[in-house]
Amino acid sequence: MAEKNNFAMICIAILGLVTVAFGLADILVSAVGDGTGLSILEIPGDMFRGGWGGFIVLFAGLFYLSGCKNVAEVHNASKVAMGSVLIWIMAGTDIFAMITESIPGGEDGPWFNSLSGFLGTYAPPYAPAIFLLPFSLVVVYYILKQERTK
Amino acid sequence: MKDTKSRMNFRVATLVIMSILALSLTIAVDAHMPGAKPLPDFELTPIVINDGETKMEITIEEVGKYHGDICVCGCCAFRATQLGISQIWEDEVPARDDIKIISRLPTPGSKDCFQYITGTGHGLETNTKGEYKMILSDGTVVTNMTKKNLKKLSKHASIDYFRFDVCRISTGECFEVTVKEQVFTDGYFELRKKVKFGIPENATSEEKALFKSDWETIRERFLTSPDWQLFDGVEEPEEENDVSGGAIFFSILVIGSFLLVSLVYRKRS
Repeated sequence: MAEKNNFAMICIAILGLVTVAFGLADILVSAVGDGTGLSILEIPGDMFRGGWGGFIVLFAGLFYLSGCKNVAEVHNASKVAMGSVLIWIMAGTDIFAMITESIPGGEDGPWFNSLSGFLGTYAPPYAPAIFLLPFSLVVVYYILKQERTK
Repeated sequence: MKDTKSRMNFRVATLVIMSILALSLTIAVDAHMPGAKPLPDFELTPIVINDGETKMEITIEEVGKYHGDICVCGCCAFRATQLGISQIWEDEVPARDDIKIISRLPTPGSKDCFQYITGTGHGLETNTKGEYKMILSDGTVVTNMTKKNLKKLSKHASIDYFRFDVCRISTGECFEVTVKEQVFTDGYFELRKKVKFGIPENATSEEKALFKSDWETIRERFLTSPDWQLFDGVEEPEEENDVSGGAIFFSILVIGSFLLVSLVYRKRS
């Protein structure tokens, strides 16, 4: 059981570090004022999504790091869950933006998008929160599973 | 007596050398930008034309060599011709004697470029010749294309001078190439007037340095920017959609949501 907890701690700590790094990158890029992209990863550069969003991602990372030590304990588990919720907010809004953008046909285009236009909206690059989303789901699943087995 | 004569000779020689140096400096300032940065990395496709039976490729380097330097006006003229030819002939290779260029820009750089392309310049051995005319915005046809006269005419150059007609003689079809205002830095033409002609007053050393840096920036833009950023009436090409990447992500999204919902319902039941 202790070994299992250690493994979970390491995984959540790594996730926390990566999340903090993404948050800082978001804030720094927004401070410079120009969005930047690395093939499939795009760090937004505007003040709202990049700056404010960067703070949210940064705090998600800090929640992960502060709660990773003994995730079996309810206070730590809630911190980790809180971190995941923050990631969901960011990734959720990004995905929602993608969905709403993919349906209409553009400014001068038809009412509905073409199939290639529709699928093209979901093409890379993606914001850091999208990459963090599956891991945040796994972490919450792990916490819930642990709570049920108690 | 001998001493006086040798002193006189020395003075004459000094005067001659100084005059030659001053003259060469004037020519350099007039035509090019002394102390300008080396050219940036750029990739410009050559202009391909048929000179009679011979297919030839004209590069910006060749034009620069003919003129003496790759300057702002030369680059602009080269890009304008490239665009005009692509708009009128599309994928066809134009015959040199079917090309007619009407320029409103009275500068040596653009003149040498257009003359090199149309084969109408001095010292060019070509099988055929196109047409090149310089007609100012007020309708004046410039026949005296000496450097001195062009310098005089370009004194009040502005964005309105950067317009060129590239025409297909056989069909009479023409395409007007107009340079976008934002290609030039703010106050560039006023600064040019000050630095090159001392109008309304001579430029300070700071203004000269600023003009040099602006000149380099504009030349870089003409060498490296796409047509739609340089010229009016050229649409920005639409980015091709990465359909497969989008399809993969969309599938993951749908499958993920389905699994999540089914997991939640399974736990409830």
